[in-house]
Amino acid sequence: MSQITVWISQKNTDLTCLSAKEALVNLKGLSQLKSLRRTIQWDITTDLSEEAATALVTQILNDSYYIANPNKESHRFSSPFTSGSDSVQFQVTANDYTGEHRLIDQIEAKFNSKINQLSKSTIWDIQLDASEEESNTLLKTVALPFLANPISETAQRVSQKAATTAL
Amino acid sequence: MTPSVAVIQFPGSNCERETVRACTNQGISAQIIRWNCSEEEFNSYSAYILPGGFSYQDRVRCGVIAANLPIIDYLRKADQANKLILGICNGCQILAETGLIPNAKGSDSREVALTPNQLNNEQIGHICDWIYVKATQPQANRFLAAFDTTTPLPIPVNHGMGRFIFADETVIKNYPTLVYCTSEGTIETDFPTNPNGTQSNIAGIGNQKGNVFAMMPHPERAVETKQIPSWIESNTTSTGPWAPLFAALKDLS
Repeated sequence: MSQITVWISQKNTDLTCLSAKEALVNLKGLSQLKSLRRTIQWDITTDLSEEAATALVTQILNDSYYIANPNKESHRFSSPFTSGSDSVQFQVTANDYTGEHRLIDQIEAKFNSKINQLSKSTIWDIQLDASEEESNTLLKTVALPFLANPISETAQRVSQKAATTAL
Repeated sequence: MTPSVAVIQFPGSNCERETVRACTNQGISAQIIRWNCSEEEFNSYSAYILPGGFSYQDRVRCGVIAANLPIIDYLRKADQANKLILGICNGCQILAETGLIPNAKGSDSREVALTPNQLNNEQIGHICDWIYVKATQPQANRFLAAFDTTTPLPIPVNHGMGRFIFADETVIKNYPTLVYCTSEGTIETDFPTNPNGTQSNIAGIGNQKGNVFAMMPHPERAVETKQIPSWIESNTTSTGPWAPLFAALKDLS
C-alpha cells in the first residue's frame, strides 16, 4: 500500500491567490505580507507498490482532467514550496470532508485500477515581514481566519512532505 | 418616488436588476448602488439588499472578500441604526461572513458558515431547483412578518454553497428562520426536501433585533405569478408567494 501526493498549480496567474493577497493587504491591513502562494494538494492511496502507484497517478494526470486540467494547470510530485525559508505553509481542509468518493468511482472505471482514498486540500504558503512572535499573532488573528473559515474548516501548519509514502 | 432601498452591486453580482424589479413591483423605490460608493451616498438609503451572484468570483470562499470591503462597515452602522438589511444567496453568504446573522454574541465574529452542498456526506456541486420553505417565528423579523408558520412557500434555489453550519446549532431555536419542507409543509431532513444537507433544514435566518435576514433561496424569482412554473403547487393568486417579503420594505421607519 502506498500514498502518492501530487501538487497542482496554475500555469498562469493564480487569480484566487492574487485576490486573497490583495484583500489581506488592502482590506485586512496586513501590510507585513510579503508573499502569498497557493497550491492544491491531492493525496491518493492505493494498494499498489510505490512505483506502480506513481505510474497510475501519472496516467491519470496525462489521460484525464479528473485532478488537473493540463490546459491551465501544472503538476509536480514534490512540494512547490521550499522548507527552511521564512515562509510557513498551512493545509486547509473542510472539517466534515471525507474524500472524493464519486471521483474515485470515475477514475476506477476509466483506468481499471482500485483507489482506496482520494482527498484534496489547499496549501497556502505565507511569508510575512515580521518577527516570529508578531508573525504568529498576525497569522492567527488576520491571515488564517480569512483563508480558512474557522467554523467549517481547519488550517493546519504543515512541514515538508514526501511525494510518495509507503504505508 | 425618492430612492429608499439600495441594492448593492458587488463585482460579480448577477441578480441586482431583478431584485430592484421585485421592489418596484411592490411600489417601493429601489436603486442599484456600487460596492465602492461613498458613505454619504450609502447613508442616503433607508434599507439595503445584498443580491445573488458570485462576488469576486467566489475566490477563497463565497462572500469572504466582499465581507471585508469598506461598504460593510457602512452596513454595520446601518444595522446599528436598525435599518432593514436583506441578503439573498451570495448576499446571504456575505452576511454570514460579516457575523451580522444570527449575531447571537452581538459582535462581529462569524457564527455560521455557508459550506458546499452535500448529499450523504459527499459534495454534490451546484443545485438549481424549486423547493418549499416555511417560516418559524415570523413575527420576530420584519421581512417575515407577513408569513405564517404553516404555509409552505415555493421558491427557487440556485447555489453551490448553501449548507448552513452553525458554530452553535442550539442558537437556531431562538431566531426567526426559513426551513426547507415538503409541498405539504412537513419538515423532512433528507434529500430532496433538504436539498443541500443544511443543519436543521435551515434555508435562511435573521438576527435578534429583527431587522436583518439572510436567505439562500431567491425570493426575487417568485414575486410574480408568471415566474412560478405550472407544476409547482402554490396557493397564491394575484401575486407570487414572495411579494410580501419585499412589501415589508414599504415600512422603512
